[in-house]
Order: sequence, then structure tokens, then C-alpha cells
Amino acid sequence: MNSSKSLRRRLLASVMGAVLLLWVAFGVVAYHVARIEAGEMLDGQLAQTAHLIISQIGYAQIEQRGLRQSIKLINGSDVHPYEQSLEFQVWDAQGRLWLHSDNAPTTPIARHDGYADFYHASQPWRMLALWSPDHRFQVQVAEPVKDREEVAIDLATHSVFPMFLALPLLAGLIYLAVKRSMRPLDVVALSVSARSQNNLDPIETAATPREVRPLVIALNRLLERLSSALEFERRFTADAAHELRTPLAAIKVQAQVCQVSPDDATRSHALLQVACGVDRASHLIEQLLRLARLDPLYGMSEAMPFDLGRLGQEAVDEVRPTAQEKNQDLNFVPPAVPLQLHGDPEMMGMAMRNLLENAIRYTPRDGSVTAGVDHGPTSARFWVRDSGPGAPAEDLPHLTKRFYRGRNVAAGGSGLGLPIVKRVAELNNARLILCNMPEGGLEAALEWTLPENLNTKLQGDW
Amino acid sequence: MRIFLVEDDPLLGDGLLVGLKIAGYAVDWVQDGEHARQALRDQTYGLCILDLELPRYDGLSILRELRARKDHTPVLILTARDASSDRVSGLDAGADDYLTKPFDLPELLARVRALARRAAGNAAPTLTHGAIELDPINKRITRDGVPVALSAREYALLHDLLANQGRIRTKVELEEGLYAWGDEVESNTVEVYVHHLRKKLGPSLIRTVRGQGYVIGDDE
Repeated sequence: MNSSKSLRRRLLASVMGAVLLLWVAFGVVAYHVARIEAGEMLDGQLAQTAHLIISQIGYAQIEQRGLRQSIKLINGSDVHPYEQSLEFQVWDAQGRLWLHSDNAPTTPIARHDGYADFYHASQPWRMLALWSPDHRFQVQVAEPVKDREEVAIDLATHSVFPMFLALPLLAGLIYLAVKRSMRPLDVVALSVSARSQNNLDPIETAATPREVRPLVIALNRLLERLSSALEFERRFTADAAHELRTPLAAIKVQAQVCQVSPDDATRSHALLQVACGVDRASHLIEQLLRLARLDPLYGMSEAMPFDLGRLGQEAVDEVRPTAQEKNQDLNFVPPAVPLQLHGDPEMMGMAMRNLLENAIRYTPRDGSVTAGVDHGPTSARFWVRDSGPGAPAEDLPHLTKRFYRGRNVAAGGSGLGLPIVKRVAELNNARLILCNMPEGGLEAALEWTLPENLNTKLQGDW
Repeated sequence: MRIFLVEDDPLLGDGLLVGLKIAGYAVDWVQDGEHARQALRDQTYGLCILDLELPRYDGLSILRELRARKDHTPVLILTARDASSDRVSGLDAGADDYLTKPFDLPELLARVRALARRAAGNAAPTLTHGAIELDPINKRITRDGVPVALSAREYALLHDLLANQGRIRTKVELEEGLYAWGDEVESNTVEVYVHHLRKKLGPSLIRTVRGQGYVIGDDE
């Protein structure tokens, strides 16, 4: 897995990075604070030493040698690593050098009172000049900055060191915490990956963390759509296979009759029937494909404005030859005003042709089929009326079911025409309405509810 | 033998009608369930070929009604449903045999012959009486092994009598086996064909039972 895509790694990296950065910043600050504190402390020591020398001078003004001795004692022996190598000078008010440590220069180290930094023997020094309370002597104490630094660094390092020791421990704890928090995600992932490919049941949402619940819910919705599409497909395939059996049986039987027919008349009749059967099977397959393309998963291709009246006229013109074959009277009643609708004109045209073909098929020879487009205050309609036998009342609600066998079977429809029209209507926000007319014959209509703006515009024309 | 064909598909029905007629059967064909019900109540057939998916009245219900009336007409079911459960429910409803679409016409004819044979209580594929042997598969008649040429109607009549050996067949029954609906029924046809058969196969084969009908075999 790509590390940039792994939540766990990103979380770990960012938390660890932030902690490390903060840690280092704290360390640096702590180090500096410790160094400053150590400097203060060492300055304090310098002052202490200076006071000590002053007080010694105070006691031993008479016996100078003794002073020398005792002061010598203060000066450097390697008792403790933090013990400084101090140098000092004692001046009197007249500027005479009274006393000085072995390595101290004989010129005044500094002229001012208080702390100062200076260079001597090519290294930096820290010094303090202090007057005795009676202002008779001035003590100047100095120590090399190098020594002070060593102590300060040592002190600072020792105070920061445990922090860095704790870092790996902290990293470990962070790692464990992240891993633990991510476990519910792993559980979800496992439950999804462990399911068989045919299992389209929804994923359990009760145990999923709140953050991933929307994802799981969306996934479940997809699974649901997928399984209904799959179910549709399964039923569709089963129905299709089932419905193709009869025309195939017819073709086969007719072909076999042809083989055994004793005379030419029977043979040519059977051959004609074979061709007829192939036509019917092809029509059925064509309709099946049309319906399959209206599958819920595909949805609608492209909605665009179309003129209902013109589309109706075109559909009527296209089926005119079929009506003429049966010597039927086919008429179209155009709408009073142009009706602009929104949808897939190609699909709508197909649905209209289907309704017209249906009407022609179920209407006897020399009958009449009338189609038209009109509109009411809130709706637009494309209707087809035939002079056929109509449909038995008990069949009407079932006519839009796939492969439903209703009236007049001899007409030999595929059983798919009306289901296709219904599906197209649904996809184009229209309704398919079938009813028997009082004077006989069937009326099939596609009805749209008009949008508000079109509605008011039409009212003006009404 | 007269066969009742119930098939709503016009092309398949037409094919079966012609195929069965070529095979020498009289066939009545209806396309919807309601007509089938009525016809089966009004008439007796040697065999019924029944499609299950029918408009207005479904095939299984027709079959159940038929059996409820104690009508033992052999029934061969034709259907596009091929699940084993469908076959089971079809056979359990009283069907004698079952064919799934699409099927072979020769197989259908063989099954029709087998059903007819079994209905007549005859397991052997050929019908015999004395020196006469009728082979329904090849529609051949032999007398002492010598083939005898018969017309289609003569053959159908002989088949009827041989399949019902020992039972008296009335003129009406014999006539029904010869003609389907719409066929022109000539007068005295049964007598004419019996006369022809006696000429070709010997006078003693078919006995006339006065006032009742004709019979082959049995009670002397």
C-alpha cells in the first residue's frame, strides 16, 4: 500500500513529527535556560569567592603572609570537576597590587566594578571586581569562560538528557495508541474483504466508528442498488430465455414438419412459417435488448428539450407503412400550440412507435388508429386510440407486466412492448395510462405534468 | 386416433397440427385455456397435448379439472418452464408425460405413440392380432410378414380397433378418431373403410356387433 494513502502511517508520521519537533524545541529552550542558570550560579560563586577574599583581607591585614597562605588554599586543586581554576588580584585604593594568584597578571584585569568579560592569554575570561566594604581594597576574581561553559553544558545536558531518553518510549506509546484507535477500521475492512463475492448483504453498521459510518452507509446503499440491479438482470435473463423457448420450438417444429411433409404445398407452408418464426424471434430479441438498455443501472442517457407534437408526427409517419399493410386508417391530430418538453427524444420516439405498433397490431384489417398530442391546464398528452377490441378489464392492470399474455394472443406480440413504454415513461417523468374507450377500442396515453412556467405560458393560449 | 392440441402460440400450434396430421392423427387445436376446458368437457380424445402457459385459463388447472372428473385421457405437457419443480408439479397434477420447449417433433411423436400404447394397456411397440401386425412407428401393416398397403384413414381405423382389442367400438367413436373439427365427414365412411380392410386383410378380422359397432378379437 502506498504510504501516503495509509491513514495509520500518516497519523503516526504527523503525531511523531509534531512530538519530535516540540521535544527538540523544548530541549533547545531547556538547554539554554539551563546554561543561563548555570552562568548565574557560577557568577554567584565568583561573587562568593570575591567576598571570601575580601573578608580574609579584612581579618589578616596585619599578618600578610598568613593571608597569602590562606588565599593560596582557595586557589585550584583538582578536588571536584566543577571546581573552577580561579585567578585573582587584590588592589588597594591607591592602585597598588597587594596580592595575586600565581597565574594572574600584575596589571589590573579590569578598571570597573562588577562583572565583565575579557581576553587574557588568548582565551575569554569572566571576572568580577568588588570593593571591600571600607573601600580600602578591590578584589578582582576571574575564571576562564571555557571552564564555565563546560560546567554549563554539563548541567544543561544532564537536565535535557532524560527527555531524549523518554522519546522512544513516547513514540512506542503513540504507535500503540494509533494502532488501537485504527482497529475498528481494520475490522470493517476485514468484514468487507472476507465476504464472498456473491454476498451483497449490507455491511453491519452497529460496530463501525462514527467517522466511517457515512462511508459504510453509502457503500450499503450502493450494494442495495447493485443487488436490485443484479436481481433485475437475473429475472430478465430467466424471462428472456423462457420467452425465447416458444418461438424456437415453433421454428424447430416447422422445420421438422418441412422435412417430413409429403407434398410441396405443406412444405412451402412450413417454410413460410419458419421464416415467420425467425421474424418473431428477432422481434422478441430486439425488444429484449431495448428493455435491457432501459436497465435501472444505465438510467437516462441525455435529457434535452423536444417538441412533443413533432415527435408524435414523426412516430406516426414511421409506422404508416405497417398500417397501410393492414389497410388501416392512420391519423394524427397535432396540438394547438407547440409543446416543449424535456427528456430523451430518441427514447420517447421509440415508446410512441411501440404504442402505435401495438394499436395497429390489435386493430383488425380496415380498422382505424388515431394518434394525437394535446394539453390540459397542467398536463401534456400523447395518445393513441384504436378501433380494436380493447382489453378485458381484468387484463388492464397487468398489460405493462413483462410477458403478460392478455387479449387476442393470435396477434403475436412479444409481451414486451408496453413494459418498454412504461419504463421509458418512468425515465422521462411521464405516465403510461391505458383505458378502454366507451365506444370500444383501447386508448394508450403518455402523460406529462407540465412545469409551472410552461403552465402559465399555456394558460395565456388556452 | 384423435388428438386435442392446446397451444397458444400460433406458429408452434400450426407446426404441431401439420406434423401430427402427417403422422396420421386427427387433430383439434385450440389456442386458449377457456376453449380447451370446454372442448375437453364436451368431447373425448385419444390424447391431449397441453401447453401450460395459456391465456385466460392455465394449463395446470385444466389438467387438475380433467383428473378431478376421473377423465383418464393421456396428457402430454408442453412447456417453456424447465425447472425440476415445474416438471414435478406437472406430473403430480396428473400429466402422463412432459416435454420442454424447444423439442424434437420426432420425439414428440414417439412420446405420443408410447402414451397411446400405454393407454390401450399395451406395452409392446407394435399391435398384433393373429397374423396381422401394425407398426405405428413406420405406419406399416403386415399380414404373415407380407406388407399390406392401406390408405391413411384405413390405417387410422385399423389402429383404433387394434389398440382397443376386445372392446366394441361404436361407429361414432370410430368416426371421431378419423375426423378433426372442420373435416368433411362423408356418410357411411366407417362401413366403407371396414369393407376395404376386410378385403385387404381377410373377412374374419373385424367383427360386426349388430346394433353396436365393430370389434377385433375376443369373444367368439
